Amino acid sequence: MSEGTSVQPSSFRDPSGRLFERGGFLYRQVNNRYRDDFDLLLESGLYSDLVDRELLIPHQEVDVEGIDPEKLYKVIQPEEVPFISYPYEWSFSQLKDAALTTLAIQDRALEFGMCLKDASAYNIQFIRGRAVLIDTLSFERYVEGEPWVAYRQFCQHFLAPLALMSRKDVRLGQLLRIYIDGIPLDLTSELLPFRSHFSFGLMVHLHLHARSEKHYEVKQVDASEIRGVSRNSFVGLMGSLRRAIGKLKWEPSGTEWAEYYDETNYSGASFEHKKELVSTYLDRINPRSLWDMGANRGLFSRLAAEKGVMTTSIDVDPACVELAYLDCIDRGEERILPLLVDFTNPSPDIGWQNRERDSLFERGPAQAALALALVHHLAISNNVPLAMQAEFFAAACEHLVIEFVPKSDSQVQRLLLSREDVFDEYDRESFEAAFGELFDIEDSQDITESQRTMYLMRRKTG
Amino acid sequence: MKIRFHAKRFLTVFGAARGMTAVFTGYIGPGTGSLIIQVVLASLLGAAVATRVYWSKIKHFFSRKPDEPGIEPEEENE
Repeated sequence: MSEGTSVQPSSFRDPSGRLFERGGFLYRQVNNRYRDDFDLLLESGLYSDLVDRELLIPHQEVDVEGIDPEKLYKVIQPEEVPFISYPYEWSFSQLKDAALTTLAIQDRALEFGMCLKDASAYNIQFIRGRAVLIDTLSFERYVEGEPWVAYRQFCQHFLAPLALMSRKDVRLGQLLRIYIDGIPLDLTSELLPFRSHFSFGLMVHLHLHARSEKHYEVKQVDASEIRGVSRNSFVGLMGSLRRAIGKLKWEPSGTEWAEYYDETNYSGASFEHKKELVSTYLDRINPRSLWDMGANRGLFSRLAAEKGVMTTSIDVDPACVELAYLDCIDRGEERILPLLVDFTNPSPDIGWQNRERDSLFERGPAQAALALALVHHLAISNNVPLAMQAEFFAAACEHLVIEFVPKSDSQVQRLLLSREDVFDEYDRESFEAAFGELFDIEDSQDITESQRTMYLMRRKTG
Repeated sequence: MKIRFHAKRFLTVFGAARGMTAVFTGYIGPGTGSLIIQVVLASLLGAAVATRVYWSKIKHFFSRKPDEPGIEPEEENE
């Protein structure tokens, strides 16, 4: 393997090929054992069909040295994904769209005599606002009679979390962070409310599925007793999964932040001034990529996206992320990716040797970050000292637009209502001193008709 | 509510399709219990698909005007 090449630790499961990085570019080696299916994907017209429909990531065949010459068939270079995100960082509708995209791809594949050999939610990414399959090697020739080998995986990765989020509690989507191959069906069945038995799709694909797994866990089964799945049956199964997913709904309501913009003590003038300051600072930085940290429903993300900035719009509230995503869908927004992350416990490295899926910070840093009305929540609600906040933001970005909200602000007063004020060092001078250790403060402006101050900072070098 | 699971009985009743392969291709383990419930469900759902297709053909046959050429209805996708 040539120097400067690193094999992606996330692609070891499928022997059809491996992802590797060289010279800042990502490539995929296609192995000889996958030759027939890869050729069929291209020659059948399925590849072009899916790429035209923006369901599959486009790639180019390239004349690049592979990582394992003995197994090498071809090397392809897929289109770059602006930001890799994971299912436990998606809102309900993002996961639902990823599930429906997987089934839509399966339908198209069947038309061309192929089917999906896996159905991992990690194979879907959001590119230009749409759910897209990024694993070009996910297809195999469809053989009538064979069941869908990825049925269980689809149920664990998509149907189980969506059912739990819809029928029990939206926060249960976070179980995907613990179970990297999807939520076990027996656990899903235990957690779902009893009334879910009366939904045909949930009853058969989750409850009965879980019972069947349990029943046959330790039994020796003669495979010849199991009969095949005709094409009609295969199509029927996909239709049933699609209906089960389609019926699952989640309406965000009554959450802390979803009404944030309506409840803050901003006057119209101060809000306009805040927007103006953010806009001016963004023009000064002119970043390619931005993290809007504590984005709420993404109003300021939109401001950045309108300037052509690829924006990852991050919030801790599932309702905010859901509303931000639905808003992006409504407006056909291509430059904003809403994500669900708790900054007090951000996505960690997980999987085999903790290297399969990267932590949020491994996927950064962003060129720039917005931290608007966030510092007081981290400081007062989560007891994070200002010096540690400065370290956190220095790891996240080079340029920082950050708003300081003092104790005199009514939002901070509200946070302090039910607790003792142990935050002696929470003031503007301490904030500037703590951040001044790691950042150069390039500009600061008081926001009109408020107690708040907006800062433009740049991480110190060396 | 305890539901006794008798997949083999279902298989005996509904297992009409042919050609089960003993060893499945692919790099992920499909799980025996998962395969069995899939085959049972697929048989039921496949029968529903077939019924819908034939029902639409029957409806089409009776609703056709005498001079209309015999156009086959499009097969439903679900």
